[in-house]
Amino acid sequence: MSADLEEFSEFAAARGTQLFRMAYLLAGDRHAAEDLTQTTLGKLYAAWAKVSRADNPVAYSRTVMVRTYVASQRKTRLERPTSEVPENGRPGEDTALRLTLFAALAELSGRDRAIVVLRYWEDHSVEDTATILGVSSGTVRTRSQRALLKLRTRLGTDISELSGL
Amino acid sequence: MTFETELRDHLHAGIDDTDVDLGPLLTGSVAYGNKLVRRRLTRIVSGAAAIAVLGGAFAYAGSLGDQTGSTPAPAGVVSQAQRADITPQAALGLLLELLPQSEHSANQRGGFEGTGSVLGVYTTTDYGTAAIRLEIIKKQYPLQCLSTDSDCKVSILPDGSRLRLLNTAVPGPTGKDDHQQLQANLTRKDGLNLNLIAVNTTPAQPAITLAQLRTIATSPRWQLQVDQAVIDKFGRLFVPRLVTQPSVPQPIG
Repeated sequence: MSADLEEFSEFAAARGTQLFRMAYLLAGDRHAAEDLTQTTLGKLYAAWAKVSRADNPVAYSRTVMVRTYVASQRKTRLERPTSEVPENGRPGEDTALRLTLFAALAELSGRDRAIVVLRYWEDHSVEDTATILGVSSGTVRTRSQRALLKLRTRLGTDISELSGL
Repeated sequence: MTFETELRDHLHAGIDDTDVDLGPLLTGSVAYGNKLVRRRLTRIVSGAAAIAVLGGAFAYAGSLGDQTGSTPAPAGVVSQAQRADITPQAALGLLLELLPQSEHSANQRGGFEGTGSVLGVYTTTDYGTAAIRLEIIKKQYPLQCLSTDSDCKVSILPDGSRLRLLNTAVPGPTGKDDHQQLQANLTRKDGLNLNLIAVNTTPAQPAITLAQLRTIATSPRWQLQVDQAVIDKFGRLFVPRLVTQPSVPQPIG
């Protein structure tokens, strides 16, 4: 095994599960999340000489994943009619809470969904989120507010009832 | 508890216990990464070869001005009759020649389609108040009309090609289904698959109609291989993206 592959494998083993979870929140189903994770890791491996020299390879990997996801969402949106039913992953695997969350997240645009995941799951600041997505802080603030409003309207009291709060 | 805090808690509760088998993902990602590296190298080599051909062409042109005329034509000069795989720029060039008002085209771009291997080419352009995307690919499962598609039709053309025409509403920036998406999806017997997709941001005054898309999609000018002269003619329209994740223009308006 080459030194690069060994180093990349160590990184992927340490970071892969967290990347997959982020992909799951972004993509909304397990199969799509596995594809997104694999594509992200593949891009990282192809550029490993550069990634390994980066100040923060974890941040680099997060940026690659989010931008790959947003780009793929633009493509999907133009390619496919919205009436097509998305793949929902393995039946019976998802909890009611997860299904409710994913259904609400699915109503957001790709970029808004990425902002919600970065801001409220990864706890990034507005500025960090803007850097990762390559947009302005103002865009992140505006889109965050709009996404939260939509989620609040969509989820209502369901989310509390599902978790017993 | 604020909604933001509640959302944060539930995102963690919903996903943080999820695990995945990293082994297959790691194997797949290394294979995909190697393909990306190989493709990058191929493009570098192709670029060097193109420069060499251009150099040869200039040398040849220079020789024409030489009245002695004793220099033989250099190897590598491309014959005009030679055919090559269609490029993203050639696809856009042909599209512009088929569009009724090509002067309305802006924000032109494109690249190679596929993840892991090149399946074909794509190009996108704004067209007045519409955005148009064209894909020419080698393999594709024939697209079906779904029961939920209110305006969708599949027909078999006289030459045996299969054509799907779809008209559907899609969300605009406001989140309302106030944009119109049109698709002409052609599967030809010769192995060419063509997807022509347009989003009209002003459906009441569409920049392009489904009938126009149909006419363009069924044009015999579309081929997987085209004359080198066509590739040369449109080569400067844009620089194709070298990555396998294609980009699509943002919705207009």
